[in-house]
Formats: sequence, structure tokens, C-alpha cells
Amino acid sequence: MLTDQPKDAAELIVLSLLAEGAQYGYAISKEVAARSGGQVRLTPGVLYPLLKGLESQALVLTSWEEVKAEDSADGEGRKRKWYRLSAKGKKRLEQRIAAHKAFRAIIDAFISPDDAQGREVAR
Amino acid sequence: MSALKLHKTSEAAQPVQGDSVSSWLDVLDKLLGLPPEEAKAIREELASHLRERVRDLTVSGMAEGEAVKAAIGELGDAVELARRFQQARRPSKRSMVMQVALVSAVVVAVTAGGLAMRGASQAADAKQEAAVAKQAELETKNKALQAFTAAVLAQGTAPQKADGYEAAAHALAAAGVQPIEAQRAPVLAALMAATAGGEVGEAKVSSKATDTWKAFFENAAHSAGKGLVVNFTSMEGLNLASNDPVGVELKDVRLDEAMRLLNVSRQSDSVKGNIAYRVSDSAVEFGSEDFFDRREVETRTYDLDALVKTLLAKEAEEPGPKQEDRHSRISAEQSVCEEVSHLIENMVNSDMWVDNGGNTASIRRYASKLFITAPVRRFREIEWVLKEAGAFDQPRAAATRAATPLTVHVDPASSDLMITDGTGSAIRCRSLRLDSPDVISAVLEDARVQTSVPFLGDLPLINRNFTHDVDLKYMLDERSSNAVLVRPTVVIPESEAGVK
Repeated sequence: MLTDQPKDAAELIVLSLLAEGAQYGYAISKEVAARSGGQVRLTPGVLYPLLKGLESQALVLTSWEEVKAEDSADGEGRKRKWYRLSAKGKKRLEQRIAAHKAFRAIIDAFISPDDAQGREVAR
Repeated sequence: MSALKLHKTSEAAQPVQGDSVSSWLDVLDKLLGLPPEEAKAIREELASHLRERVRDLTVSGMAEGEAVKAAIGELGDAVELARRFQQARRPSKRSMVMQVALVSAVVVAVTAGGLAMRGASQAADAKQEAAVAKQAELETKNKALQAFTAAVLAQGTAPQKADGYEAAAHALAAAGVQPIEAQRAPVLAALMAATAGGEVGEAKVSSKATDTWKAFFENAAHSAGKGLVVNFTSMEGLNLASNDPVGVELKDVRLDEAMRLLNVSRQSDSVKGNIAYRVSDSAVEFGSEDFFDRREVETRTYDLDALVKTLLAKEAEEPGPKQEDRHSRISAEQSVCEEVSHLIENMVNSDMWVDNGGNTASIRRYASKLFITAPVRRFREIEWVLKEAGAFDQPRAAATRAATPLTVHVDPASSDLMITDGTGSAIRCRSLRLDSPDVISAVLEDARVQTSVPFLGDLPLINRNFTHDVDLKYMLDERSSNAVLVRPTVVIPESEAGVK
């Protein structure tokens, strides 16, 4: 079962961002786009269910912030939901990183055969 | 549901931001069907997102109307989004399995290919592999249950009768799934045994194909030596009028078999539901199955604590920090209750559940308990599902015990009920446990009568302290004038060891 699904990549990205500090949904999506030079776009349709999933697994802790209205009031969207990594989330991130590195190593072994052969001989 | 394509608001004439955003969120709310608090949190978060997104887009020069459309468009199809949220609420083991599997793939690569990989600790490997095996086993079982559910749904019928189970079992076997199938067979046999026979079982009926229903019912009641009550109104929904021909030729057929044949012969796209009958000591009563179902609803409660504990124990075994706090307990209760509820609502006559748009049955939950309100006769299937869900993790021997008839008698000294199995060991209890109405057709005429009770097996999910206030009148055979009115507040005491 050797897969690297986009969904798992998204989770790894979000967990990594949260490891740097608390964030809210929209900020996460902007940060992801900015850091990847627009290459990765976590659409809200993916991001929010993903955050919900992290929350229900207790990988993140959440809190609400009252946001002062800057524009015309419509009664909605005045609260921001902040996410931060829980201890369990940190552990999960470590596992994810290890798994990702392992995955990369395997693929590397295939895409640079010279290098892989060299190692085999050395062994 | 598929008619709802809501990802674009382009049809709306120049939507105002607040309006189209909140009406979109209204739609999502409905689709989510979550508890109000959770739905509200999702709504607020998405509203906040949309608001900021629209602001950013308008700052970058887009007209507000366009910006709203674009922001909502980014959220995608509402139906799909709702589905993702619902999925996300149930903690999935899939990602964990995949990740562990990945690590083990690395281990294989290291040993087989001789790749020198740093950081893979050998001690951890063995542990991981064990975890992989365990997870894989769990996955297989999970798949089996899902396949079974799918098979039942694909049949288009909930397993109302034993043959429904059989068809589903067949589909399951065809799908190459064995583990649960193997355990089900004896339970199935027990179910079939418990279904057979009725109080007018010996009454034989005959009819010509041209006989009217009215004549047929009269004939049936006459041969059973009882009066007749027919609720034709309830059968209008079945497309049945008193002067319609029966359409089936019957000669000396037992009433239960006759009804089965008639129902089978009437089945078509336009006829939904069966004709049913009830027998009291004075009359035979005919009506639609729905009619009797609605009359005979009751509420029972089940404690899923054992399943919750199993889940928690499993989580504790996972490599990772221990989370035995209140939060994980609550979320475990929630996911267990929800999954079991879904299973029941999908498998047992799915149309009757309020959650599925029906009006006869419902499930409410509190902590690890399920309060199930449903027609009495459906509890056999419900409890079967509960049992299978409970046997999920540790195969139990209950299935074979289920078929063993137990004997119930009243101890004249104490007037306690004694339940004895074939080996002669007995347990004492104050009254009788209700597994299904048929079970209690027991006639306890005096303190010494012995009655054979087919026992549907030990349901570990039933709360032992569960009390039950159903009127026994229907269930007891009314022909015995001094039917024992044991208020069925019972149950087999916690120490069941005596039965074995």
C-alpha cells in the first residue's frame, strides 16, 4: 500500500503550519498559497472539512475570537475559529513527517537508480 | 438530493452579499443535518471565511456581486461539501493504517532491497508490523460490515425476513467477505426458528382466485374459530379494497403461509408493504403491516458502553499519546453511537426511520446509550444488528447458545422466575427478559408450569439494569385466563455464569 494521496499531503501541510502557531481557516489558505508560490491551493471545500476532521480526532484545539466588524454588519462572520496543535497533533505530525520522508526515500531509490545501485554495492 | 446543484448562484439576479451568502449557508445547514451547535460553528466559520474572501477579492478590484459568486464557487458543491463535513466528523482509521503501512513498506524495502535507510529503528518495526496486522484485520472486518450493508441496500429491501438475510449473506459471500458471515449462520437459524409458528398456525384456509378479500378474511377467521376485525382503511395504501379478488388459489394452507403467499403474489412496484394479521383470543385482526407497526411501537434502551470501551482501548494501543481524558471518551461515545445508529437505520427497514424521512421509528442518543423507538417486531432485527456490531471485535460463542431453548418456571417458594438451560443449572430472576414479543408467548398458568422459551441470545449491549414497561397483554397468550402479569422489569442478573 504505497500511496501518497493529496488528502494526506493536505493534512501534512496544515499540521506543519499549525506547528508554527495558532491560525484560523482563511489565514491558513492564504499562507499555503503564498508559501507555495500559488502552486498549492487548499480550497475551502477541502480545508474546512479537513480541519473538522483534525478537530474530531482531537489533533487540534480550537477557540473562537470575536472579530470587530470592519464593514457593513450582516450579523454573520463576526467570529473567527482559531486552531492550534494539541499534543496528540504534534505526535501525529511527527509520524506524518517520518512517513513522508520514508516515502520520498523509496521513490528516490527508483528515480535515481545510479545512487541506489551505489548503495547496494557499498553494502 | 441529486437535484440540488448549489455551487453557483449565477441564476440569482444580482445577489446581495448577505442574502446569497446566508441563503447558501441555510442550504448547507439543511444538508449537514448536524446537531445545532455543530452546524452553527461550521456556519460561522464559513461565513467568516466568505466575508474575508469577498473583502480580499473586492480589494483586488472585483465587483462585489462577482466576488460573492466567486467566493461561494470556491466552496464547491454544497452536497459534496456537506458530505465531506459528515465524513470528517467520524474519526477514520484509514489514514493511520496507510501511514503505518507505509513505514512497514520501508522496512520491507530495507530488508529485501538492501537499501540503507537511516532512522528506522528495529524495535519500532516489530511493533509497527503488529499494529499493521491489527489494523488490517480491523479494516477487513469493517469492510465486511460495509459490504454487508451495501449488499442489503443494493437489494432494495431491508432484511425483514430470514430470506432477506440469506440474500444479503449471499451477496456478502460473493463479495469475498467471510468473517462475519461465518458467525451469522447460527444466528440466522435461531431467528428463523423464532419466526416460525403462530397462535393460529394450525388454522387452514382455502380460497378461489376469484374470491373477494372480504370473503377471504371471513373464511380465515371462521376456520380459526374466532371473530374478525378488518381494517380496510389501513389497507387502502396497499391498493386493496374489500371487493377486489384475492387472485390466488389456496387449498388448506396454514394462515401464516397463506398470508405469505398472498403478500408475495401482490408484490409490485405500486404496492409497498404487506398485509399483516394479529390474533387475540377472541378475534383475528387484519390490517396493513404499517398499521400494526404504528400501534405497536415501544422504546428500548441499549448501552453501547462495551463498544465504546473497546474503541478507547484500541486507541490507547495506537502508537501515540494516551488520550484517556473526557474529550476522547465523549468523542468515542459519539462515533460509536452514530455508526451503530447508521447501521441500524440502513439495515432494518430503512424507510421507517425518522432520520430517513419515515414516521414510525427513531433513535435518540445520550452518552453511550441509544433510545430506540420502533415497532416491537423490528427489535429482533435491530438487536441482531446490535449483536453483530458487538461481536465485531471479539467473536463470541453466543450464537450457538442462542439456539438452546431455555426453560422458565416459577419457584413456588419465592415466586421468583427460574431460568434453566439444558444442563440443569439455573439462574433466578424476578421476571423475564424480553428479547422479542414471540419469545414471551409463554403461558405461565400456575407456578409450576414449565415453558420452553427460545432465547435470542445474550445481547451484551443491553444495559443490564434496563427496565421495561411494556404492556404484556399482547405478548402473553390471552387464552390462559390467569396470564401471569410479571411486570417485565427485568433481566438476567449480571452474574450469568450460572446459565452456562
